[in-house]
Amino acid sequence: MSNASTPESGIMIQLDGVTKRYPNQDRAAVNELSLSVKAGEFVVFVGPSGCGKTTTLRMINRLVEPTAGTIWIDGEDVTHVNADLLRRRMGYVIQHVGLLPHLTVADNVAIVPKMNGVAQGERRERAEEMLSLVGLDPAQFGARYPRQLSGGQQQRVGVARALAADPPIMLMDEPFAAVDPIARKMLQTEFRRLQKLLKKTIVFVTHDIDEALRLGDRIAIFDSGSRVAQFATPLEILTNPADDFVSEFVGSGAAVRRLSLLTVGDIIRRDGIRSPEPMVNPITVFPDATVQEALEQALTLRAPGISVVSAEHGTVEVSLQQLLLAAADTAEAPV
Amino acid sequence: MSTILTGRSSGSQVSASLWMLPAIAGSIIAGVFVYISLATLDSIEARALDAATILGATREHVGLVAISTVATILIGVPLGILLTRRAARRISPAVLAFASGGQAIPSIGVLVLLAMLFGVGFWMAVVALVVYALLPVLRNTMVGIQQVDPSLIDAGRGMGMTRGMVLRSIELPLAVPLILAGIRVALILNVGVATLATFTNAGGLGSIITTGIVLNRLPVLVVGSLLTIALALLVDWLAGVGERYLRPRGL
Repeated sequence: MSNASTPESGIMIQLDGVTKRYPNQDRAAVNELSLSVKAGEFVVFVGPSGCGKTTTLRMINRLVEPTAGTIWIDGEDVTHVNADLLRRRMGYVIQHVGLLPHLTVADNVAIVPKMNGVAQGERRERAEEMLSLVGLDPAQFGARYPRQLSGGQQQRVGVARALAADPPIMLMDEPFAAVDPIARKMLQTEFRRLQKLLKKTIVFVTHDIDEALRLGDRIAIFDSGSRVAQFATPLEILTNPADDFVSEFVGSGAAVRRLSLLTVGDIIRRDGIRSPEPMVNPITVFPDATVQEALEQALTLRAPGISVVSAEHGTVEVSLQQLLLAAADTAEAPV
Repeated sequence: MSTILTGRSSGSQVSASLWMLPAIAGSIIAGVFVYISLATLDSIEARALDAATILGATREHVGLVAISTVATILIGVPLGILLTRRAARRISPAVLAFASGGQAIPSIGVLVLLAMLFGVGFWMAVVALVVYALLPVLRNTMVGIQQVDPSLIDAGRGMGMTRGMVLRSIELPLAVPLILAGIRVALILNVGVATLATFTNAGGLGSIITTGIVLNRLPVLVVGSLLTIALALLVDWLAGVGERYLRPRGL
């Protein structure tokens, strides 16, 4: 179909020159987009509305058929395979959840396994397992109908349903946008933990840059011309925005927001900084605490600095001033 | 008739009213039979109102309603589904206009026209009833499918359902309450309109009413009318019970 070569191994999703042009529209909704997502990576598409991020997502499972270009999934050109079968290999979560109101929660979760011909007993087990995974007690919620659940609970079921067939890929279109802010934060935290556990390849669409920075391993920032302005790690985007559009989209306070992405361990490992003289009553933190958390604790307790305890470096004392300056100088978190 | 009649809401006040209709219908029927057995009837009245005549007319009436309603469902529901498919969206207004026309024409007109064109008899009356009752079933089926939340269809497609699976496991189950409401309207319409079938020699309770009018016997006319009303109430009640049990749970 296309001259693009097969993606190298370890790439789960690759888009090569993918274009979507709707009839009677001058501008392409997505224009010649190429990007790749590594296996197990959490990639977030973020941008203003109309930037083509959702269209791009929907082209990956071919709910929108690309006008031109090639889409590779796990080394296979899927541009012309059976779209229904392709979609059963990917979890799909949308903002409106889309639970079928006439099916119980457990039956909703078991939809894709049922389509795949999994026997009933096994389906039930699978559904219960998935519900537990997303923090819903199957005994309590399995037999309920979707309208008997809160918005946050419904989206948990939506995630469980997308995970039920154990697809290597999850596509998520603003999944947490419609739930209230407290439930959203919980869902984000838990989902991030879940992804670390299950190692799914995730493409996640949002218009909320804070959500993108909190969740993504890498973030693709789309500008209004459906161009990817920058595709990089959260820290890289905050530290070195590619252009004015990116820095404006990220908004003010980038330097402060970076503090929540760096851990105290990053700082002491990279810079080897030490307080010149012993401090009076520093607070003790673990190396995996973020700089923001350490700062919050130190300011609350009026401590002059922090004392980091790690096996690698022993006990290291760092003053608040050193911590902040070092954080500002640290561009990239070492892996 | 362009409004869409929705199913009745479920709840405790429904279960109270659930037994109202059969109670009223039962008292009407009981009253009619008490009246017939107690009143002094002349020979014409007695012949028009003997048990065999009444039972025969009722049986004919129920037959007309049952067969025409089944035919209406068999035509209206699949046609309604077909007209909501993407390929047929363009012709659906025309078909709806035809169905509306069938209903806008006075029922007696449809009957007489069909009788003039195709002759008289039971089956001709069934055809006329189907033409007349098609609209509510057709329209409610279409609206029932069209009102399904598009995000549910998106979710279904996104999970890998084919269009047929989306129709079977999302669109149709969610359209069931509206389809049932349309069928209920068709049933009630048919009970009433079937009284006119007597004019095309198709029998039914209408023949008792007509006998009363033609022979100027008020008791016969009233008995025929009351039995029709009682039948309509019973049919409505049965349809309501059916709606309660066939409507998908969770809605």
